[in-house]
Amino acid sequence: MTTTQLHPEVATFAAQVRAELADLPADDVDELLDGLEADLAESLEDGGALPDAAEYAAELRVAAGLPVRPAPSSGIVGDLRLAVGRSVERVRSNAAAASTLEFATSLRPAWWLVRAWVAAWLVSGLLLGQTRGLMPASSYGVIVLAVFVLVSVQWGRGLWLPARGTRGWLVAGNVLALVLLPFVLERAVEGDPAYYGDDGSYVEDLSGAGLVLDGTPVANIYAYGADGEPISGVQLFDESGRPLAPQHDGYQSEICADETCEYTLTQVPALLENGVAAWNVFPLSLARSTWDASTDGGLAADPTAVPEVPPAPFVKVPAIAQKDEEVAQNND
Amino acid sequence: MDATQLLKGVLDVAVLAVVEDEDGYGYDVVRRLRAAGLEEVGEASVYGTLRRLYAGGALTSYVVPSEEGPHRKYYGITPQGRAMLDTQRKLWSTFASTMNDLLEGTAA
Repeated sequence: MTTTQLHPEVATFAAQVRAELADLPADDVDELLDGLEADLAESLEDGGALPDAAEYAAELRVAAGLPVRPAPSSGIVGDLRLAVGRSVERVRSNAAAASTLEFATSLRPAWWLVRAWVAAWLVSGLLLGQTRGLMPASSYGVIVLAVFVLVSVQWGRGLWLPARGTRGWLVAGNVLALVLLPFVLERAVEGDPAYYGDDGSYVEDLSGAGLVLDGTPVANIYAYGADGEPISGVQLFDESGRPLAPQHDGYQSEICADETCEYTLTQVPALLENGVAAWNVFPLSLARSTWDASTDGGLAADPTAVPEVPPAPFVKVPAIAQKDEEVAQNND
Repeated sequence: MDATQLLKGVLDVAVLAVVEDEDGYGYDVVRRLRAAGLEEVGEASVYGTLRRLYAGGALTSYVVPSEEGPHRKYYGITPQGRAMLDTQRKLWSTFASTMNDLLEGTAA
């Protein structure tokens, strides 16, 4: 057996050949180049010369029946593709990274849908003026989304692809979709129609904002006794003992004193015997507001103003019909 | 006529033939082919052909470590490779005699 000493130029040449094959699966390349250095070294010792690495690699490919290298794209894109190919190869040689990569690859169909959604959202925004909501609001929007999903998925499956020369635009489109995704998502979620009225005006989210009746805030409650006469100082609680109180933070409870709205009134809580201010004592009184920087809305009840109970909607309501026995007992 | 063009079609059977009796590593196979008269055979073509025949099941391979340098990868023929070689031998023989007849006929 001929003694084979590794010539430094052989190692360099082998590395160049490997780089030329970077687009092939790592296993194929390893198998193809296994033993190559020994063969090259021996060829050199036999008086041979090292050929051009690119031509050599191309010859290897053809003879081995491996796919011909994709035509090197010009400039940055080509370099980028080569760099990606190399780093993918490097990642694949690590078991944990390889399984992560495999998992990520299996998520590709999800990305096909996401990029279609981003594109549809942008187009809908430009053509249909819909810039709110995760899902299209009109049937045109639905059609736009469906078309984008169809095309995106077909492209993902390698079908309907445009001519080779324009593939660079596809890559650019993917990158653009990825970059725009967070912005589009933010706009779409923030502007969800759930928070807007039909006319596009902003509707306050009423959950957790005090007493509400049919979607409208309840500012005050007027209680009438069994006899139909108004009663005051009624403390109301719900079934779990929580005080039933209207919303009373800053602006929300401001009420114009008259039509000119020259000054406003604000609700004042009743003071309980334990010193606690209670907002669930009805009807709540109103007092003139005064500027108070310490509160949310900058307004608070003027401490010098005398709170007044606003007039009840009804002077008297029908009394509750009493049963005969009760009437009799009451008469006792 | 360029012999390399002719060689392309018959490199598979030529490679099988030179490892039929004795296993060989890449450059060894090149050397045998050249010694047999195929001097223009390209090294990379031979190595690629070995790899493809191996992938197709016509050859087996094993690695022999070397103490003084990189290891060598040896190739040996499989029963499938022998069957392939037999078929191609017959095919070649028919083809060659047809070509001989044809070329001699036109020359005459």
